[in-house]
Amino acid sequence: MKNKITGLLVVSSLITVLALVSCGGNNEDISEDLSKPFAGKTLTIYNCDDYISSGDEDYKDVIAEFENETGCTINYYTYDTNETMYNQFTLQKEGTYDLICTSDYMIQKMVKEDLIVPFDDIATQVPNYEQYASQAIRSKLRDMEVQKDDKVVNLDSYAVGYMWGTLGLIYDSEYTETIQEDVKSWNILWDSTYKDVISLKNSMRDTYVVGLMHHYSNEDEYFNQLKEAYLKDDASQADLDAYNNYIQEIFDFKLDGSSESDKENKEKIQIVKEELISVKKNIFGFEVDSGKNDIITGKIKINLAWSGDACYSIDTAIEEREGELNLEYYVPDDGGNIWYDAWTLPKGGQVDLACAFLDYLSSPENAAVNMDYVGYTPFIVGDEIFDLTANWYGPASYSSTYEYCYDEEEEIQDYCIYNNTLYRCIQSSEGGILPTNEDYFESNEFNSSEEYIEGDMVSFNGKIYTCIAESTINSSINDEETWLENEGYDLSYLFSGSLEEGKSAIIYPYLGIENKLSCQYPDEKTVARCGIMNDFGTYNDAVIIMWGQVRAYTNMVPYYTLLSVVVVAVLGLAIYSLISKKLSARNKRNLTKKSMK
Amino acid sequence: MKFNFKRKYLSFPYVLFLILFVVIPVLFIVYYAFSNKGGHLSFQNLVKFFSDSTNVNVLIISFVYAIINTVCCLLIGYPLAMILANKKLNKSTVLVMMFVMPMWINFVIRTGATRDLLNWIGISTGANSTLTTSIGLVYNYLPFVILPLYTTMLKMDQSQIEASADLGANKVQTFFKVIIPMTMPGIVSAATMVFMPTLSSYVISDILSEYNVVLFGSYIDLYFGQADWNFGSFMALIMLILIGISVYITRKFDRGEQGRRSIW
Repeated sequence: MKNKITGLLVVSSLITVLALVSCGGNNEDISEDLSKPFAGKTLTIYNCDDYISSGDEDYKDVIAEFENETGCTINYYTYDTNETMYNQFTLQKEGTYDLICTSDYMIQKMVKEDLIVPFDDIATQVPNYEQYASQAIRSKLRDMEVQKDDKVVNLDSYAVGYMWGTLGLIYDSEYTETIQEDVKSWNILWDSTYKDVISLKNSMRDTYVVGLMHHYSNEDEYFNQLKEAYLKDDASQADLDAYNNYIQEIFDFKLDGSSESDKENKEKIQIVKEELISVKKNIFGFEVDSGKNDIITGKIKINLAWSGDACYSIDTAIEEREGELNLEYYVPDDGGNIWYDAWTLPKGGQVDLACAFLDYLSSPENAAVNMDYVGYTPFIVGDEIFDLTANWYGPASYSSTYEYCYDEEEEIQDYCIYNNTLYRCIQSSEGGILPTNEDYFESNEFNSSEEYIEGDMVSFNGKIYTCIAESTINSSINDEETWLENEGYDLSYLFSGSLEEGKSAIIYPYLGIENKLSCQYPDEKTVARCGIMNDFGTYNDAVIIMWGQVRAYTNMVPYYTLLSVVVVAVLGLAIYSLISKKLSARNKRNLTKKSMK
Repeated sequence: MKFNFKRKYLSFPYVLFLILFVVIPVLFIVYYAFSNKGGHLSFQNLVKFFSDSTNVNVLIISFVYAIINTVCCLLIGYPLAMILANKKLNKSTVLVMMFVMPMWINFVIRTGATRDLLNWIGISTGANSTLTTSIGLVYNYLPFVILPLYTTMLKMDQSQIEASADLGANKVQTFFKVIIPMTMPGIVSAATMVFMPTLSSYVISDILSEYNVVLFGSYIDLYFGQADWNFGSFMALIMLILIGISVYITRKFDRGEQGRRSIW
């Protein structure tokens, strides 16, 4: 019954009001067990669609589990866009929701409008988050500031991070020979080689970034100097920071209220408008949700996408069109946008219960369940998350808590690295069994007499190699045509400190999946070239108008001509019918006169 | 006290329905249209609307699409309705059903399929968005033209056509002087059923033009999507007024409707 109610709610927000009343009176579900900490209480959550593991197929139902553990009842509602959420949320009376998950800029807006309350102390209220959230990503929350009642507050005290990612381009890597190079700059969207195969997002804030970055990368000297510096292989942290700061400066509107800033901000909007109008001529169109599928069917070749969706598309392409279509994701070197979604406490909600739920979500175990279900990248790091990532992307350090699997029928075989040697699992275990146990693991050290096929991975002298030849036997590991040294993908800037002792945060991705890993977990350089899109504040209205103008922009001449032709024709017809009526009336009079005579 | 049943009591449920779902929403639109974000009376939306030519341009674009769509639908639908209504040519109602059948499927789903179909036969929805939008509009609104025309043509008095032939009119003259005037009520209601919904339609143009063609409906949606209810409502009000005007004009043409009575 409860599921039915929830299902309907997704369809119509109007019913929400009614259903809230009916759900509140529905006490049947509440467990009698009063020993549970929150027995009899109801937690109302408002989250984006499909953004939590909900027990489909074999996934764990996170919400039901929490209800069981704490004895509370959860009313779970979903929305499709942040703006819908905002509309719906502000229409409800205070205290309707206890917990809302929304995006960075929207949290800023809600803080500014005094709709949400800060956490008293995240460390004690949500200890799991304090312990397991990646500091590198959490610092992005700290960087987002809001001016509130004469003081500046940062979002870290208002939000508990959930998922994060970047905005970039997903593209068919074999569409042209130069596409891998072209995609490094936003200029690709203006390139006539790619006319009518690009689609952008029908989303004001995302497409705005494109126009902005394109302008500065082409017009700004200083921007390009900084860009060159950070792109160098030996770029220092200072170079990365300098670039990131400059990108952030470009992104932000100056909200100090002076007339100079105002002029500058308006110029920025004007610049973006011109950029976007010019890109409109080259693109296929805008999309809301169809881009994910269109790029798989091949209708379009390049799509502006969020990293989470890009991962999904890459996955689907591998599943459905393996060998025909190879999708990759890249954030152009000029820079892009880093976004995150986080949980906030609306005013008047039940803080204790909400925090208990957040703490539950923030344990690496549950975060991994959600990551597995949603496919996005969580704020939480830790062994469970790392093991899941390794399971998806490639061998990594041996984990004592992970259950290594082997299933011949399902073609599942887990790998791990232990003492610089690659091992493969030959019998599923409960976990905690060392790879040296020969019943469960077999060494995958290079053996020249063995036959290998493309994609096989071996270790040799402490290094990991991937076979890139179709098949090989009696080859030498130094043969560059056959064996490629796998340098691994270092995630320590996110995971360091959260993993068990001695475990390295390097993943050695399987052949052909390196790009997807960098889409899931962007490297430090990618993060450095991504700015945070703050709320536009008082300029939001101006940007909406600009966006409307861009969307509606078209050559008006044919429309004016056609309309005037129609107007002239209608007028002509009206005059003609008037005249002919008068004429026939006169004829009639003449006729009657004649007959009188 | 004795309960006196009066016929007008029967209208109460309908009146309630109308108040709840027509009058109150319209009042809401008016309220939002003439207030600012703080809820105070304001004419800023009026100023905003006419200070940017884009807004008027979008309206013009919608009008042009509505005109094109109406004309195309009538040009295609009229002969078709004649054929369908002709007992000699069309002996069963199966053909009529086939033209109406697409209406059984929700138009959003149908439009999604049209998009794939057009791309499949090589008309790219991204590169030829004007054409594909027009095709989609005509395809979707054709049944609305065929049905009213078909019913008026069935009721058409055949003896008058024979009479005009007896009096020496050729087929062309008969068509323009007899058949068209006789089917005028059908034409007017067909035109209204196409013109006005096209003005406010947006799903078809959004899907079939890859969001390249922006009609007034989708322009309003853009503002609602950005949580600017006030300006969105103002534009909805403008559209309401325009539709009201066109209903008034068509009523003047439509001589078929007589003997209307108040529900009271």
